[in-house]
Amino acid sequence: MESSLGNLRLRWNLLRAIAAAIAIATFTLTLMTIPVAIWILWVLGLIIGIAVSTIALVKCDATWCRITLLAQSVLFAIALLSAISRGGPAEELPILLLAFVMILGTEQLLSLTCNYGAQFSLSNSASIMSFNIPTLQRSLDRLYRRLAWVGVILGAGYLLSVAIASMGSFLSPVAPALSDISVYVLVTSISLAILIVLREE
Amino acid sequence: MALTRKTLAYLTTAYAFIFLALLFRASWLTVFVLPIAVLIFASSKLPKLEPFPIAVTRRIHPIRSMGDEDVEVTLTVTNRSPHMIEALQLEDNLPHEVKVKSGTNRLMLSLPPGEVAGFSYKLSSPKRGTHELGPTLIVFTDNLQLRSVISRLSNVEQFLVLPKIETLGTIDLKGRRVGPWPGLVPSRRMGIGTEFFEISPYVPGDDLRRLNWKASARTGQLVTNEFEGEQVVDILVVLDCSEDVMSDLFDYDALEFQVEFAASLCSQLIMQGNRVGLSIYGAVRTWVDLAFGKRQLLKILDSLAVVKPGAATLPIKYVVESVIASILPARSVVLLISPMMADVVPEMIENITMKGYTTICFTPSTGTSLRGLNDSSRIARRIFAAERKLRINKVRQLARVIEVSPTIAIRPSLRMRNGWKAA
Repeated sequence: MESSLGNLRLRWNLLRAIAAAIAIATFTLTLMTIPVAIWILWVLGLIIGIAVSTIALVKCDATWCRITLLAQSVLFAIALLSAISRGGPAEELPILLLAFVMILGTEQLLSLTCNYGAQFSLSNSASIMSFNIPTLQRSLDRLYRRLAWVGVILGAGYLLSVAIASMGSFLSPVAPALSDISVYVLVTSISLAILIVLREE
Repeated sequence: MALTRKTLAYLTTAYAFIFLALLFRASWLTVFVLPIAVLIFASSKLPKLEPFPIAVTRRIHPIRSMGDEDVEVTLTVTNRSPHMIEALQLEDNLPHEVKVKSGTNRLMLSLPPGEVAGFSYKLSSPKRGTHELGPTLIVFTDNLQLRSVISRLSNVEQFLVLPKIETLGTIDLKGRRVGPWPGLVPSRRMGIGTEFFEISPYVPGDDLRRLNWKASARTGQLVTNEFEGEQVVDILVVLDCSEDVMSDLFDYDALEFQVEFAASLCSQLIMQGNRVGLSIYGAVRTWVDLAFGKRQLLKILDSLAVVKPGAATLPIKYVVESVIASILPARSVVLLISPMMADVVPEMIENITMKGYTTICFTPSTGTSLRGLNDSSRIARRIFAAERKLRINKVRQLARVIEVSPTIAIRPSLRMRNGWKAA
């Protein structure tokens, strides 16, 4: 019993550590796309990012998770605006895209950690003992599987986006107008398809 | 199946990117829609969600809490479907005034078919009153939490938190009329007891241990000691919970204090074998007939558990006097617990005492702090305090008045006053 409880705690803490690392990596990646000239934003962003991500995952608290996501979104919006003001991200688009995908991933990770946090982050063993240990183990296995799923889907999404973006850059020397139109047409079709899928549901 | 808030946020973000792309004529911005689109498409390809049959049973322990006691809730969840439930979010609804001390009322589960999972959580000593637990909310979500099916079970259960009881120790009470049953109240008649009453000539059959040898030697004939019989009295505890109890004159929760005091008093008097009844005047007007024993104590505590302050439709004078007349035998004891804020209270006590009832009044003491009040509030408070003092003095001429305070333990506070004995 004690060993399975210890194993459970170890796996849960490992998951939280990975989540914290991903959240901090997302902050760092987003900051990389912001011009170094705004150094104060760099310092502040990194400090705030590390602090809020750590607190969110130590506490497994929904409010702190939202604050983390809000901070990431604000930094990403700044990065995006600075890219727009420069006339485009040029070579930085894949990094910007990766930062966005990682924000989506962090969101999934934090929301799942918060949902499961109530049953795993119990401060004393007596509380965790009030559950069936096999049930908790199964829930944790399931959580790992879910996160793997999310990782695969977001990875596929990232690769697809990078491929389409590169296709646009391949087309631009040949037919600049066509490259723009192709992306617009593709995205608009996808958006319509999303609406149709949701309506079917 | 409903879209979650997360899905709506994703869609908003996607369309915001398209809008920005059109606004700034920056086609590269539309690329950010693709990861979101992939997520939503992937979610639609996952197995469809169905509200599986789930049975949830709840056990509350104790169902009737004696106050200052944690309440443990155990939930047992059974998957009654032939399918594996991958992600099931369960949340047991709690009233806002109740806090979870340990464990959790919300969890995520994966349940194979027929599997039973149990979990429990502790509620941190809830306040006096009736609390409702449930219904249990069951949320089935997909892997990406973009779609959900919510079902609400109809498993609402109640538990009762009784007022806290303080041990008061033996109450030396004297009544003008005692009942025929043996108890602890001196009856001013010969009988079975411990206090010496008088000596009487020895009659064959008398217990030889009762022979008073000194008196027998002095009088030249055998005499025995007689003792004062100790019997029970009929007591009605009247609790005045009119809205005056919420007055700012009291620095503490006078309502809770009065209720706990009444509970402690009733408990001690019943334990001493007396026949005790209760009359409550407040938002809920109720009374409990005179009776003996632990079952009666539970009845009284149940009534006290749901006491709420407020004015009943009928005036207190009429209510109390009519309850006393209908359930209390003449010359019994009335214990009134009141904030003494209503002008009608002295008149009511006068009427009760004139009918021959022994009356003792308990009133919560008021605070003296005037900090944080402006001048007009200070003056108003002083006027209210002076009026209350006048009322108490008026009552003192008719009955015994004992001021009780939550800062001093009730037991020594009662022992300090001789008046408690001399009723």
